[in-house]
Amino acid sequence: MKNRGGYLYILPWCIGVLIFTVYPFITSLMLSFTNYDLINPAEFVGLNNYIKLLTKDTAFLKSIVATLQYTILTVPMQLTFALFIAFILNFKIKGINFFRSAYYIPSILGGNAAIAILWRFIFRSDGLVNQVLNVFGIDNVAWFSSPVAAMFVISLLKVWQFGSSMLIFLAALQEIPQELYEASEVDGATKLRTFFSVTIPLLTPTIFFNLIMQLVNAFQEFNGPYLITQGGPLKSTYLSSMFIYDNAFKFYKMGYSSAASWILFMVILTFTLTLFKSSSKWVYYSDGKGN
Amino acid sequence: MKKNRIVAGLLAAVVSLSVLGGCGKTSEAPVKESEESTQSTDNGGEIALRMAWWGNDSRHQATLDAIKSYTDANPGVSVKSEYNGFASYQEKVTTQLAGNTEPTIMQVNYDWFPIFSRTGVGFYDIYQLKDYIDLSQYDEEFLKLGEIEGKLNGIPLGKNTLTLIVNKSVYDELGVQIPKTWDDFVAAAEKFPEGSYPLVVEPRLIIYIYLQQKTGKSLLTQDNQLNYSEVDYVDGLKWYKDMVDKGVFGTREDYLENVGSTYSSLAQNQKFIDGQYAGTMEWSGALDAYKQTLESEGQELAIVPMPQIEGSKVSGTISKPNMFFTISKNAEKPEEAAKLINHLLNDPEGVKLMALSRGIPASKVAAKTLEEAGMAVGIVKEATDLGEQIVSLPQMPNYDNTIITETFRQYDEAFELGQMSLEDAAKAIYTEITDALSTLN
Repeated sequence: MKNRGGYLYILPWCIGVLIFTVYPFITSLMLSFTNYDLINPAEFVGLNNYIKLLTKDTAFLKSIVATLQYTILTVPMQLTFALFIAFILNFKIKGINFFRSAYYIPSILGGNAAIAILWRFIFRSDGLVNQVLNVFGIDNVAWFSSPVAAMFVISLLKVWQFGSSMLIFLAALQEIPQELYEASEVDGATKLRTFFSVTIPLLTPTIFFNLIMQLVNAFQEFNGPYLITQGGPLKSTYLSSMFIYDNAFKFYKMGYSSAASWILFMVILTFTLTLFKSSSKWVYYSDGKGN
Repeated sequence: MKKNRIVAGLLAAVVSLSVLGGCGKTSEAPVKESEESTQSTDNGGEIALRMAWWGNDSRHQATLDAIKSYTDANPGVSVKSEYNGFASYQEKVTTQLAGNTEPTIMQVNYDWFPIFSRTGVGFYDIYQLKDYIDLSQYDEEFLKLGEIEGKLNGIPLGKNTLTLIVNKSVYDELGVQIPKTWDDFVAAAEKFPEGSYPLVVEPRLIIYIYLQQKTGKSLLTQDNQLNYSEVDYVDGLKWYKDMVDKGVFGTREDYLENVGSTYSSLAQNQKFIDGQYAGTMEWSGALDAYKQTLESEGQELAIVPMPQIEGSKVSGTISKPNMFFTISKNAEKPEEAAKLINHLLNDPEGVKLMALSRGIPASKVAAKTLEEAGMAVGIVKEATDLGEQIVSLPQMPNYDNTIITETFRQYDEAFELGQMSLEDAAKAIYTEITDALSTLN
């Protein structure tokens, strides 16, 4: 009885989820079995969209490969970087709060249009990056016309937004009991040994959490490639989300595009579940029962 | 604690769900130019209309002023205006049409008709409203471009012609005459420093102009079949690449580095401003932005009549109706919408306020009104007049269909970057466009 007030508080969130997540979720599943161009009535085609996507559409399969490359490239880099910065910001330095805020700013700016234009500007043929390279006697790099370099540019934009992972790492680092550090110091462990034998094991739940969040995010990345490379050159940065967007809003194939998002969902789900399965092997929970 | 893991699991599950809601950041990204605004001239009138268009600030203001002049004279009418930039406009109108919540009057692009009104019943048939809109002001053939299966779906507002423009100041500085033929361009290109090009154009459009001159036909037949053969595509791509090698057109690599993978306006591009891109090809209606950019740099823009290839069968470049006004099929009082359109397009008062915000008007009375008022001046007028002097073949709306343009872009890019042979690229373009056309019909 006394809990009833609580439901009232979560009601706005529930309504939001129902309208903006559950409803589109179900609708897209139904649409994925149809041909639908938004204007004319949807026409049921069974599994045709899925069959075509998985067997005939090389552009889609290529986009899945590009998405995997992007994920494998960005997630480890981003996590390592976030942990590294969090570790430094955990020291008691003067004005630490300023640095903590400063490092979070890229995450607030994110991949918005202004940043994307700035990114294009600094990587263009006589842009800032190439000018700096020239100073060191390195030739201009063709950042946007070479597939490998273009993938690197959009990955860098992602890694640059390490702020939220960093904050979570920072909070976890501060949770680690000081006694453990003292004990290892008494035992004569080096700083490096302490880091790998005390800090990292105690951080594994946080690493696991950040890993899942960033993985799911990376699979859905859209802004970077859409705004900076438009999927090019040669579709090297044409990630699945761009394929889905183009088919829905440029080619008006809503059903086809829904089917593609369901396949992407399945891919993400598979990765997530596999990671959850593996977590019992390497994630340490301090209650001692985390097997 | 065990609880931690459950919470983490739930969170991850919710986040991964959002891919299906099209959520993530997808929905907020494509708003590059979305100064979306609405403005209402509500004077308590009982007839409420909604009108939507895309454009820049000067077009917004001109249209708002013209609408206001109508509601001032007709106190019973109130108009809600919904306007934004081009990029997000199509998405908005499409979803509105899908949900039957579209505005009474909509500005529509030519290639949207096959999507929005395949059989001609997607919009109100304006022929039914000829008592309210003076259709006699339009050239009969031109008006027919808005007709689908005998129903007038939209009124074409004006003509857009692909026009070559060059930065005259660059030529003055190099001491070179502005070219008239492709040979002149080749000769001029030799004088250009590395990284600078006489022309930076969208390959698809310049190749279609080349093929149009060569074959005397436009891209598509009346029943949406491809007019060009695989051999034509080989020839077109070869000609284009040859001009790139001779330094006339900018290289694909340079474009990717300094503009992007897809084609966009160069009016604000740094290399255009710096004079390294000394010319481009653009629709006549959009030329003002280029002129203004160069003028603010103290440079001068010049129009170059489209060069003719040897043995050219038609003199023309490509032209199309620039945009249409349509009326919603669900409009409660379509005749009221028609009256407003007539005020904007054919009434001297509305016409003067609309001015050149949508190019030189196709309406005869509007063109005459602006001429007499000395308002039909500037580079848009110049380009339109030039377009009138040449034969231009009618284009089918699907020539600009995104699937077809994207197919071309993709294989042309692979060819230009040396990933595909000329023959393979031409074959892929030809086969895939033919396939795409069969699903569009």
